[in-house]
Amino acid sequence: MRICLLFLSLLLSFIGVNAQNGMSEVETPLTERCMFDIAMEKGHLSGIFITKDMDDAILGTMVNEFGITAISFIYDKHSHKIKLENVIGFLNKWYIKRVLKQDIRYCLHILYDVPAKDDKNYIVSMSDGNVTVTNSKRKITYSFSHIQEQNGTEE
Amino acid sequence: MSCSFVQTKHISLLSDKMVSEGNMYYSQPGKLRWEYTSPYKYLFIFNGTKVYVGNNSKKDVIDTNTNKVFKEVARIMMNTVTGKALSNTSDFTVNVEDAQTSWLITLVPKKKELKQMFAKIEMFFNKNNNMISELNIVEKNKDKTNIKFSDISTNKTLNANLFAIP
Repeated sequence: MRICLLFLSLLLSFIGVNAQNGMSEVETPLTERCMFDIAMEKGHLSGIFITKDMDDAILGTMVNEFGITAISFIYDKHSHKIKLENVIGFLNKWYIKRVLKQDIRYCLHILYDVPAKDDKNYIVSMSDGNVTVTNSKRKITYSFSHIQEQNGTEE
Repeated sequence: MSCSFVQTKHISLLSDKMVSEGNMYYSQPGKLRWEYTSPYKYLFIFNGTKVYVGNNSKKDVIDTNTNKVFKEVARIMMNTVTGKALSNTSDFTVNVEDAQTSWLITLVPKKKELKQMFAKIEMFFNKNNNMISELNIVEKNKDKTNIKFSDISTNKTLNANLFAIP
């Protein structure tokens, strides 16, 4: 029973630490993944950004470092509208989601060339294939970078 | 204590899944190393009030005294080390079921912070040795993370460097 409890303790600790950064999705031709980081004034959110480019839509999910789906969305290629399907609790407020929808759409414009109007509020920079989109009005920075393969070391 | 694991996250929206493998090490009191080895390296170390999170390109050391989320994780961890998680029901509603060859323990979070992340956590313990064999973390949006454990080793001395914060 002691071992049982000990394992219980470990597993509960894993609740917070089962990062998906070490994961890979089952490969399909239209699925892409990269690291993401959303930096806000009062904190940041990071993890893996996975997208699936369908015929009529782009599906996207942001999985945070806790292994939890933080944001998922559907971008309709015909209507050019984006719908947030799931937003983690602390971001699940209408005024935050409104900004997120606009920002994610602009990020898709940069990453996948979906249509969007030029907006002076957004500052875009690219370096070595990594992309940074900053909403200067809201002071939110979205960074997308390659995932490091396992042939490196983390320590 | 140490073991290997295979972790599979099912993403409902994408009808897809992500699979990773790694190792876990634990030493009392309160030292934990959770490392992914495939397909990408990623590492977590809990040691006292410090939490290390890192890979090749990004490394963070978080002080649980200044980070509410990590402090909560550490607190729950310590409560379960001492068994308080089962007796102190402020964090989870605990249910135990007979699942043929396993005991199934279901934890349903009570607190708002945990509810925002999980619908429930299911743990399967082998009846023969009381060892954990499998874990499911079910999210509100029906996404699910399954972790299967193997090569479990207990009561062996682990190198202290495993838990050193880089």
